[in-house]
Amino acid sequence: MTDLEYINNFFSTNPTPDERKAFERRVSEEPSFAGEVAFFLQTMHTAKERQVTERKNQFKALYGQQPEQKKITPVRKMLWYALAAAAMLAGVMFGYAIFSKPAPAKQLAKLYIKENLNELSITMGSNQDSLQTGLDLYNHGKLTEAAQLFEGLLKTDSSNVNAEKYAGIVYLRLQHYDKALTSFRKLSIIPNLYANPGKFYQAVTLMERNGPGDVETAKQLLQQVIAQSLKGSDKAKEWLKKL
Amino acid sequence: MERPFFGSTDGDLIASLLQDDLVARKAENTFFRRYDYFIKEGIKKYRISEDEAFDAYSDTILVVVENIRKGSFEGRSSLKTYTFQVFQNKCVDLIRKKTTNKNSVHQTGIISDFMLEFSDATKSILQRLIEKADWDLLKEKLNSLGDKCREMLMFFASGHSDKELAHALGYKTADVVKTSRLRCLEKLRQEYKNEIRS
Repeated sequence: MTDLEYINNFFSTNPTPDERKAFERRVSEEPSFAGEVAFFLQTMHTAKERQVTERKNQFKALYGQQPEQKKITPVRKMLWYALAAAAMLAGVMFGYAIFSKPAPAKQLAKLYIKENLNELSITMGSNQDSLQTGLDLYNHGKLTEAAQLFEGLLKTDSSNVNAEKYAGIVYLRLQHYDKALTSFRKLSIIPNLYANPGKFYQAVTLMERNGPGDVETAKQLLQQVIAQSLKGSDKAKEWLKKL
Repeated sequence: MERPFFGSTDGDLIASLLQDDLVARKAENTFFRRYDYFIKEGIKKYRISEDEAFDAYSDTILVVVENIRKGSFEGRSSLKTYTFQVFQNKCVDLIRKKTTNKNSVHQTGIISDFMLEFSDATKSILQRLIEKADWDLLKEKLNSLGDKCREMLMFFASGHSDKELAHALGYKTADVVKTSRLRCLEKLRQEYKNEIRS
């Protein structure tokens, strides 16, 4: 075994106290070995820094920035300032029009669904493959097929919490509000369920449906979500200020 | 019975971050986008530039992801609260660095990450050697390694196991990954030492 392999193994595993002592003895008694250890550590640090830099550049692309800014000529700069001023004025007028009165419940629900429920990822639990298949269908926009799959899972096992949740979300997306409310109501009464979203999703469904009395019922549910610190309590607090 | 995780909650995101590389990478991007409004808040609160706030936020995401993978995030607060706390600390550190002009990050970072269990004597020996290193040369030699070698070292240095690397990079087994990685390390060592001697 070479020194590098020995050093690699030492830092990759949990050495015993005796192994640690032997390692440290070599560091203090063998300068060339100490040099190899220092090189290994420097390499790991440099490689990690490089990984971090690459990842940050990928984040920059996500955030919409480029690593190097283009230089803008003075004339183009003035044009940008003029456009920015016009955009600000339009924004102020738009904001006044929208925010001077309470935001409609339906708009809040639509935005929430667009930002949080347009795409779903796999969760841990039983029947992982079937759930993943259902989620793949959902994420590809095949909502009816996804609903059928989750309904099938619930026929096999009516206590499948994740299938119930996803079924409710699919019904919501399909605007089958009664079915969505039934699924979310069943979720909400399951005892000791971690981060139970049932009541919050019921509220979202009612706000999206926006039928007579729906918004009032949704407000009550949002208050319960806050009081019981359920999933969605941050959003519930934000929405109750606007409804 | 395992606790179930749901749609857009912390639990779901955390579960995705713990999956294999492709799913985890997508989850990291989702995580980044979810709270990227912190950047604007950091600019306002700490009066730092957008680039600085972006750096602090990117570092925050990477640190929180690492803590989730190591099991240090215990879920006592929400992911949002935890991430924001880390972000605030990063912004404060940035301001401190600017005011005190401290640039010697490399050496401190290495000491704290890898040598926690060593005696002070061992730490001193290694720190003296590390301080003498030519960091720019090492970076240059790492950059000029082949893509696969460099990728392997980068992923390993970021805490991924040989098994995860085998899956992510398309190798047959973890042992093959280990052998390849050691070969890359040896190659890098030779190139670095040859340049130092000349």
